[in-house]
Amino acid sequence: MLRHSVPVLAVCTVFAIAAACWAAPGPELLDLMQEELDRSMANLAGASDDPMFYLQYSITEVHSVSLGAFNGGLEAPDESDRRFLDVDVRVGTEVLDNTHEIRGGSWRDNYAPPRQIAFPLEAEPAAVRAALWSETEYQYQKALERLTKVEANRQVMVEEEDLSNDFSPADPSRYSEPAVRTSVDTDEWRGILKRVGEEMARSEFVLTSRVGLTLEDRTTYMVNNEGSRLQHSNYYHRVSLSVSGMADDGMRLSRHETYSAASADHLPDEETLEADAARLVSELAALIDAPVVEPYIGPAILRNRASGVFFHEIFGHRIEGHRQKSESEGQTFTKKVGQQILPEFISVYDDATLEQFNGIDLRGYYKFDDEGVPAERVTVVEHGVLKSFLTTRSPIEGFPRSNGHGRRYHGHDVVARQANLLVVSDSIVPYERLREMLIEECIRQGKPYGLVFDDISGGFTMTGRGGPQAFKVLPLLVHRVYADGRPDEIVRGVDIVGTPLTSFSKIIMAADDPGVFNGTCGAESGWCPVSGVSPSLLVTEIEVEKRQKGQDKPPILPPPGHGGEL
Amino acid sequence: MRRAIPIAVVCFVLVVPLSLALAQGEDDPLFRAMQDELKRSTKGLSIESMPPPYFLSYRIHDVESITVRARYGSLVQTEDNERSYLYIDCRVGDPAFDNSGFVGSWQDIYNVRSDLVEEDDYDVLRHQIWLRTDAAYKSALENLARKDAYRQSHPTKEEIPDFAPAEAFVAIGEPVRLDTEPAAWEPDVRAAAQALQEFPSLQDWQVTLTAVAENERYVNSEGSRHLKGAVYTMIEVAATAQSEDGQRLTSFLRHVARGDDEPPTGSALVGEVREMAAELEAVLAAPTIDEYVGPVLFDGFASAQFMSQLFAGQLAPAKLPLVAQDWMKQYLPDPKLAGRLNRRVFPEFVTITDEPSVDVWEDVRLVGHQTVDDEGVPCQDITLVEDGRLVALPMCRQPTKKIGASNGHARTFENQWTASTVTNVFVRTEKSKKDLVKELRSLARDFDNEYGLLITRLDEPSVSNHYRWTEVSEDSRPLLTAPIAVYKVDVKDGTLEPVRGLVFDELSIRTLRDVAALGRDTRAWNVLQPMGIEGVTYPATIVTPSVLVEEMELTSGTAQEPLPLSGRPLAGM
Repeated sequence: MLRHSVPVLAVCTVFAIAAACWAAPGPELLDLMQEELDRSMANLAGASDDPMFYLQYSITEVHSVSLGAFNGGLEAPDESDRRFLDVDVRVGTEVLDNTHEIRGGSWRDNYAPPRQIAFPLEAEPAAVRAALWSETEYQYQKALERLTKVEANRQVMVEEEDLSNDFSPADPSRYSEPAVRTSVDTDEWRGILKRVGEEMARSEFVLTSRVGLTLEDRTTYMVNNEGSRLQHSNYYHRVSLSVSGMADDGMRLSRHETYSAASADHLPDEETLEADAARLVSELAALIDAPVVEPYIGPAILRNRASGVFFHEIFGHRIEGHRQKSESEGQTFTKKVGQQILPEFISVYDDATLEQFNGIDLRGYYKFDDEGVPAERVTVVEHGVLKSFLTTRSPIEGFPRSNGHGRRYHGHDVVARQANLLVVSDSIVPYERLREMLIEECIRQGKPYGLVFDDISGGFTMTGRGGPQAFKVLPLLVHRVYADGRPDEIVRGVDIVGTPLTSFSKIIMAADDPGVFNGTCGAESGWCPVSGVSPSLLVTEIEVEKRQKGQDKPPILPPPGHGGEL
Repeated sequence: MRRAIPIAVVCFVLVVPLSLALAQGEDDPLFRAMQDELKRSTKGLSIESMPPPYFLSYRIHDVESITVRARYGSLVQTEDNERSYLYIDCRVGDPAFDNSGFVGSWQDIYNVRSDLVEEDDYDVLRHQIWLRTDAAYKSALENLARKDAYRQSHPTKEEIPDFAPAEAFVAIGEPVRLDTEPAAWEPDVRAAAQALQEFPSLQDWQVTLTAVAENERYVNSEGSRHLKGAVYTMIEVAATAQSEDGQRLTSFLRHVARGDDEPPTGSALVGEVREMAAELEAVLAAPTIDEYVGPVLFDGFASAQFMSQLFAGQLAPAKLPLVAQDWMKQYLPDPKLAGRLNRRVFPEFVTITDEPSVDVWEDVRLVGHQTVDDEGVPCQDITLVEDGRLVALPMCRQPTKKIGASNGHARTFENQWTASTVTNVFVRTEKSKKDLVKELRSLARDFDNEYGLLITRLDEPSVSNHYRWTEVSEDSRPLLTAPIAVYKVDVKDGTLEPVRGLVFDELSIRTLRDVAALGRDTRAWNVLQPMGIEGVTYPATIVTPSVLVEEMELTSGTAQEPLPLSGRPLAGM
């Protein structure tokens, strides 16, 4: 078995805690974790015929603040400090262990229900040790139980296609950095949110509006029996604006804007928020009056952020490592390494080491993944040719080592996840030229118009074999660009649908305007912060279908203060 | 100061002129928003050819809370929180047949309340009430049509009205605030958790302090209007361990206090915690019993649990909703006593009342105390059981075949259900026995038993399920939960010996008729009363003496789990 070593990062030895509300000296906590890990290994490693060969303790410390104004009224502020424990146990051997896929059963056979284990906030040694001990015993017993099921499942099922090991060792990582506790002037921010919120709520057609600020500091303390010892932090701060309304036909419509930052200093100022709030309200008004698009196939432009979401949903999830190994997955790209899967001018990377792009903080940035492996930049596609997948410590055929993409939300099992997915084009034109090319493509195809997708909220994609290998993404703002020169027109009520291989083959040009979307992705291992960077893309053909819409009539009475008063 | 502000004195006026009612609390922006939108909606809310609402009510429930939790001797959570919720009861049709009482979909069972903003901003609140009223009205129209269609395909012999009229009632109290903060409780919670470190056999434990101040503002289209507030403080301690054969035993103690009263703190709390742990350790080492048939004495807290689960929890709701599909019934309450009105349910010497008017009983503030219920009806003291016969039920405004009016016992829950509930339940007898242990031994002798059973604490699944390794199905909830602290009482000399591993067998509601005697040790227990839907409870008080049951069957039944392979690391390691 080919194994690659992972370089050990330089150790940073700064251990200050800034204004923490609890006594949380990192080294002391890590020392306690290490001592209890050693004790557990000594007690449990040989306690069964199936040895425990891997043990990892991770504590996720979360400080969060949430402020908001709904319909212009202030919400109660929230602030919390919590710690959560994850214990990862592997019994058996690196070839076959308790994490091996069980085939033919239910989804729950392979993904345990999320388990939120409250962990001591204080540096109380007996409490810390007891909490670690208790969860280790539980996870150890569950691991033995599952290994028995794995072995039985293998006896009754045919041989698997991917015979890779279940586990790949990694060189120990040792790193520590100070955890910073983010604070903002709460009164000042409540004032900003109130003023912006009132402005957004002022228009009669705005049914609901919200402006919110969330600050989240996440620090991970991690040790394992390979000798890794980590303390590292990420900061996920966001300001979000949203407005919603309803068209006369009952369709609910909304506009959103989100600003992500890794530092409170990078959050937008009030002037920016006011301007964007006004824009959202204006776009909502246009959407409410906009015509509904009928199902359509034709040329389109995916604007940069929308394209980033599109690639994340349609492409990114299909290059996650565990989907190449699982017998229940569709494995769109598993056997296509070395083959052309995208146009030659497109390359795709997933770079978890990238902190910013064009000055914008990326939410997908981290130093180590949730298996203690240093983050890496992975070349997934080079000039259209598939090169690699995003991997964890569960090897897949041809990729025996982790490239630092094992991620989870605390309480979940780790799987391969995207971080910062970068779509890079060698062939670019200014956006205005891309728009001209859209019109030219419309004329060439005899289409009266093309579509421009300015904003996409997200979507879902089916990667399993149980269903079609199809996707649906949910545009929020779409323009119709007429071939005959009429002004652009906002339209509503469409979703993009399709199948991945066909869709990627339709990309013919990119613009010189790479843009960033920052979001949170939900999958088997819970919610993970992610980013996507992509230029605007011109596609010769995209299919849209009618969106499912609500059937409710608009409110019977006018809003209070706008009529119907006694 | 960390103590709670006492509950405000409530002034109430029955059938007040509307002008006077409006005057009360008119400066309150919430009331103004509720009242103005109520007036606008009752006048103008209608869709052509569809009926307008015949009844509309708004209830705003403000909840201010703190939580301090320690596990293994360290704090794991210390937070405060403020939330505000809007509940709307919009009825279309008429009182004889309206949209209520029909479960057509999953959402009707778990219909989550609406959040409101914290800020008392009149315009913002009205806007939210307006949108929610619009949705509630449209939903009510749809539900009325579905219910009507169901009725046509499932005709019933008797038509019971859906809604009972009530006179307007106004009771405006002063709002309460939570005059405490998490930091004030952290030392007590931490100390109680650290005290349990002394018990090496314990595997896990936690101590939780919750303090809540809640205010309810209510208006309806009949002219009722109230503001009521209450402050509760609760401490709960739970600890789990395993016996040598792998049986999991989880014990707990809980104190619920209202207003000025507070749960034990400091050394008093630590003392109680140690007692609980010592009892659990004694039970761990106790022998098991395969089966038992004979008399059982429910003593102390177990007597309140017996009455809470087997009696109070089986009274309501008096009338169950119609369900569109049979599978939905498993998620609904299944009260065993509600249909036994005017029948004997206890022996003749037992009388039970439900008295919401009682504020304090023997220096204990009762958590069930109320003057007005959640439907704006003044709370009435009622006799539930008279000389052993069930003569009344707690009632909300949903009539039954035999009871047509509310007696002010409605409570609205998080899923927006309004159900009949108990408040302060008093169990009384004029034929109490001084020494129930002696009576237990005597009865056991009649059974030719060498011992009788004395139970001081029953399991609380909401506590113990947290520590179980296997998931527990919702339909496995028994009428009476398994005993945690059980003692054999020797017939000859009265000595006590702990035993473990028993669950009640062949238990039915008829067990209440087998109550042989009540003691003279009556005590008030503030409890979390199960509502009948899994995990939903409310504060109520059970005032009861010890209860001796003539004959019960128990069998071996508690599941076993793998034992830990290493010992818990102890303090000082």
